[in-house]
Amino acid sequence: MHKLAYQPGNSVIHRLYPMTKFSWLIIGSFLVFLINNGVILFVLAGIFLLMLHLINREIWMVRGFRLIIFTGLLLLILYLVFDKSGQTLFDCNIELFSLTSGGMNTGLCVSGRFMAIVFLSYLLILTTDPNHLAYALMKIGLPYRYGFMLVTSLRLAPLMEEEGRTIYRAQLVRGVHYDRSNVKKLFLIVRQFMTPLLISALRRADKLAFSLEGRGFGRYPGRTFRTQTNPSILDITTSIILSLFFAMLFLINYGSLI
Amino acid sequence: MTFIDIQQFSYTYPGEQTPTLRNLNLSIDQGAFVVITGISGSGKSTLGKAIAGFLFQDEEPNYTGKIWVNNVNMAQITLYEASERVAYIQQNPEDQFCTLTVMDEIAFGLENLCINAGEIDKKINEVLSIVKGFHLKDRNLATLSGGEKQKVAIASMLALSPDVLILDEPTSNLDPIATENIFKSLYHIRQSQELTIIIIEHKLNQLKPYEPETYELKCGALKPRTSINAYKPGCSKAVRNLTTNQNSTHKENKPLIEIHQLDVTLGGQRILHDINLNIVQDEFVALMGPNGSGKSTLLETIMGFHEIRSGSITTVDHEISKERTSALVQHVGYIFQNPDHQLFTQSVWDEATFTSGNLHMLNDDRKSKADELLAQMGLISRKNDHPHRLSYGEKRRLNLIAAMLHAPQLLLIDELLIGQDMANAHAWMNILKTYTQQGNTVVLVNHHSDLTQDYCDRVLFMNDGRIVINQTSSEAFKTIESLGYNAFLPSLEWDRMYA
Repeated sequence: MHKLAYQPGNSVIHRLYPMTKFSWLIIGSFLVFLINNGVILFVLAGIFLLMLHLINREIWMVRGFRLIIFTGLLLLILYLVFDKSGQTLFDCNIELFSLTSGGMNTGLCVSGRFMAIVFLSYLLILTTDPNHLAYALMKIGLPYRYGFMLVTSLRLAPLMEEEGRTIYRAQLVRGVHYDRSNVKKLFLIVRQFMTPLLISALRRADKLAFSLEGRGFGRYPGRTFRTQTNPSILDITTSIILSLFFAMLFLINYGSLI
Repeated sequence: MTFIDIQQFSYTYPGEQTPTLRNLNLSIDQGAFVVITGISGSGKSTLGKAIAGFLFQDEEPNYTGKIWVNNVNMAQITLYEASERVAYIQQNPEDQFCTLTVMDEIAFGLENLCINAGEIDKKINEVLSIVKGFHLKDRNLATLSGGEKQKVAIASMLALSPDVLILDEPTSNLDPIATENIFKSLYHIRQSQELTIIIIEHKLNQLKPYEPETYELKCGALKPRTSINAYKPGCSKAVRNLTTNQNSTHKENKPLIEIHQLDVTLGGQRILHDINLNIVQDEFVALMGPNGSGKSTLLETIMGFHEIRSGSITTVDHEISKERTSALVQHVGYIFQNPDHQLFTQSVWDEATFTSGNLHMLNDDRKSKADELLAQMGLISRKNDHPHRLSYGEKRRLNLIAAMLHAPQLLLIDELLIGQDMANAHAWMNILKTYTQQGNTVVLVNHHSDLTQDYCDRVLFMNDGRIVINQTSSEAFKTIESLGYNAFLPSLEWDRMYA
């Protein structure tokens, strides 16, 4: 099992400017609510899934990913089974198993939207270094104090994870058993685990504050940034293609209504 | 010309009774290369922070006296202004990184000062060349070795063009090779940049070639030291005589650790290669080698923390691939590198008796043994204190008691002596030596060649995941020299080399 985290690579999506991806995640999430044709949404989710698969063949091994697909399909099935509005498409004698157009479209819509948004977020997370995203956000106006909250937590998270592992091992070699049957004892053990972790986190925060102050952090209301990658022609082309793509989806969606 | 002038400076930490620094006087010339040494807890870091201006920020002043840097009274300027003059680098570079990549880290201070992008890029290249770390430019901080991290920390401070650079034990987490490298770069920086450099350090032997001005901080006051060589506490000689006679042969003793053709792969990377090793009862074994050579991984594997792909390990009659770590607890004591990660309880006494309690072995005998050990290590008066209130050295002693009290046959220790002065180090090595003489075995990861030579029976030297030397201490250092790992040689050899 893999963690859901940035994985370095060199795909087109990897090379896009973080803000381009972030903006399209937001825009895309809105647009899927404007489309009301279940089939289009379901196909859209399928396209995103294909992109995910092309970017990372091991996407199926990412923790929680199968649960997302399961939830999406379950939503579809629940609507098919319980929403009986619209015309009957397939009739069998048991009412629960007959299909109606209303149930079908609403099911595909809800499930398609859910999966499209989740897959789109996965695309962003898997291909974007969160550090670059934080810097990009600060460059377009996110107050740098908040931006660096994100940067420092990104830096400290793996360290804390490593510390957690060491503390667990240190408990193990001192004869601690994680006995789940005894809740009171388990609570004590968890407290014994959290105490060193918390103290260590506070100590780190203290030293980091020291280092921040010693290097002029917060001295001026603004700050500059070193030369970093900027949006390129790739971002413009991708944005144009995506705009055309969504325009086409709208045309299919609403064109058919006329 | 006097550049740093400290006059009658005293400082008491808020909530403390006794001052940490007492009427301290010191004058340092511009461009000097100064080393401040002293026992653990003597106030070296406090002095460093005082010069860097950090101690003048308390709401109510806790200091008396004056500190002038380049004719500026440090008490009268803001911390931001102070940081432009004096850069203070903390003990562990990991603690001071604010970003994730080398370039962001070096740019960080400059960006805060609103320097324009072009200037920043130029400065990054410049300081990386000064610390000879240009090849690190595009790396992520997490992928750097300890020595490389320290170089980046120094570079990120140099980028701010300070007049004074203070380094608080810059090499405490580094192996001797990386240590030598850092000292060499610092000396070079000081020569090329006309910087005043103050190093707070225990490792005086390796600083010898650079002929620094050396001061010792003792009881809150500074004394110049004329000779670096003299830095060995008087008591150590007696200890030495006591232990060098104990050269018993252990060959017939029962093996406690048996390793055959062990390979360990972690995260797709092969960390240990073809390890074959026997460690028997009564032995005091030092595990040495550069950072990243696999010492910690070897200890962890012996304790059963890692999956074994090929080869076998038997630890105190338990075959590791078949048994859980918990089966070993009674027989093996294990001390991790960071004391804070292994203090779980609410009092020193609870901590000392924690393992015995978990193993249901806490009888009256064991309790009186705990009292005895606490008294021996000077912790009996702190019996009811919270363990996290202890000083670093005290925590380390408590770790040692906590691991030893249930009398395990085997003690595995992943560095005990980091940041400890020689007097403490000798005392602890003596305790471990006595423990082995009582029929137990100790395996200690140790960078300190002098102490290894004085106390340990055998040296295992690792490099690149392999055991390259496995010999008695006296033979091992000859082999270490013949293989060219000169930085790992004891001080007597250093004296000979730099005579």
